[in-house]
Amino acid sequence: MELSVDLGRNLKLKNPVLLASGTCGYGLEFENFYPLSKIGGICTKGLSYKPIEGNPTPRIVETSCGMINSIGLQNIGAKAFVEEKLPLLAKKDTKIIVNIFGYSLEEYIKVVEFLSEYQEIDGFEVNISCPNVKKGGIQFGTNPKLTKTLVSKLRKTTEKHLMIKLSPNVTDITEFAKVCEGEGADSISLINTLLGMAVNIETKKFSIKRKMGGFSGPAIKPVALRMVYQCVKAVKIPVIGIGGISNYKDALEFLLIGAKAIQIGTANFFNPSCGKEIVEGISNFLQNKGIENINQWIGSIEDE
Amino acid sequence: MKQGKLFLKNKKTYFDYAILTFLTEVEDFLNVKPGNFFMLQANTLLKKPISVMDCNKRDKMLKFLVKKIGKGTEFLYNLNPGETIDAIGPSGNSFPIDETGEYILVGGGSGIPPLYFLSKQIEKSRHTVVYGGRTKKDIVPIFGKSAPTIITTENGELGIKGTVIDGIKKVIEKNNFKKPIILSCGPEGMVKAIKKNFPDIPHYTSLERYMACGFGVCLGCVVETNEGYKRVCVDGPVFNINELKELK
Repeated sequence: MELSVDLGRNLKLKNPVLLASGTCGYGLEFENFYPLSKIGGICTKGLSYKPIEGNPTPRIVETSCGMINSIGLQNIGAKAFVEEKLPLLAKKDTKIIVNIFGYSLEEYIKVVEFLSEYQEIDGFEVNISCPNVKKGGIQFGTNPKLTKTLVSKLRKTTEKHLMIKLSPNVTDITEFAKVCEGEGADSISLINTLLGMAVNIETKKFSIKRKMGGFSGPAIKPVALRMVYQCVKAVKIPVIGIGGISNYKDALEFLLIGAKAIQIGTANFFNPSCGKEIVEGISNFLQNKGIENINQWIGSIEDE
Repeated sequence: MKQGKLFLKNKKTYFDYAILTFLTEVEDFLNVKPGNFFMLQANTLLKKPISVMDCNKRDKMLKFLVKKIGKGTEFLYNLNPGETIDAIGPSGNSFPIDETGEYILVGGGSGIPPLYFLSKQIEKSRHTVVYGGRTKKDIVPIFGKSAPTIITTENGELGIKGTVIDGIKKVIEKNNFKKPIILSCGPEGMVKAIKKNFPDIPHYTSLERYMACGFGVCLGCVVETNEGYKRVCVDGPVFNINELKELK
């Protein structure tokens, strides 16, 4: 059974299953549940050049079929990552895609420049879509001109694989997909969380401190599937599907409509073994269907 | 920490509380210390963090006390013997104890389970439990004669009429402890009141927070400490009270 997929620019995954940034820490915690070698790769917790403390609490709330978070990109910073986490992570037989962000164009460039020196890093996922910070992040992902400038600058900064993570909180996501492709991005990943809100009628308070946060989980899958499909149609670079994927059937749906790989997000929280289970489930499904290579399945939906 | 199954062997209910006794084949599940918790499947999207009330390696038994509060805990309360649930754990740190300590274990309502577990781990002569609730419906009869216990209820239905503060005063009066240490778990109002009334007694408390994962990756359960945000799930749930900015 051939499960490997090629995302371009030397980023070939042994299988199309990645763990989504923000749901897998720096990856090592998952070794409690299965060897990371089982999955295609991980997208680390978003890194900025300097450490960030994140938002005040409460930061999370559960809603029907989903959750809202407002963590605020808390992270240990790029230097601590390469000193404390990367050496351990590099020993694992899986691809390391480092998710990065900045509060300004210069900060995005600085972190990519710094991390590009490290051979152990297989690629970058650029977060231009986090709804949980006051500045930076999403402002680059909701303004096509800023997206264009950012991707163009980052392309000149690194030779490594450049995956741009898009926001669903826009009118037409394909516009952003095309801009990324035009400026030399190697792939795009979508969707990041939807901007959401929850309130408590007993306490008459907002459920999370910053009122609004990123909505994720099984509830967002139909929105994600639609947007991934639209982007697959709009660009030629690989599209990585994210949004409400909790089991192998969900993953196969995204691959069927043309996603070249998928990322598991919220499901990592309630079923940390999900990464391994999805790889096994995809493999068994394809075997039962008599399909020897996953690339025969990718994009094979009857589309008339 | 592992992910695996728990088989419900036995259930006892007491008003809104249920004591759930599970059996498990996951050996790592049985390496538990007082203060540790598990994320239990609860018919909600996310699992729910529930403290361990007891563990017996020989019998492969894990015990939890749950109070019916929301959708998740109601599901756990309504489980029937013979049913199996998914679990992740054990997670978290444990209460700091040593052989020379003199401990006052203070539990409020559904905060009692880790202190019950702890009381079984330390010698009887070195500690007293103070177990407080609003009414007798909040005092689950779990201790029997297994530990010296002072019960307080706000309406006086059981034990001393008052709060755990009255109970702690009683313990100090009665035991002649030289250097007592308070180990607590319960509502934050209770913990703050203990801190206010006994500012000079070293005090470690187990915190309760909403968690998405329970194993350190979501960063949803953080608490503000003197050293910045710390994760309640893996850096806690037990903290030195002086470390916590939120309880100042």
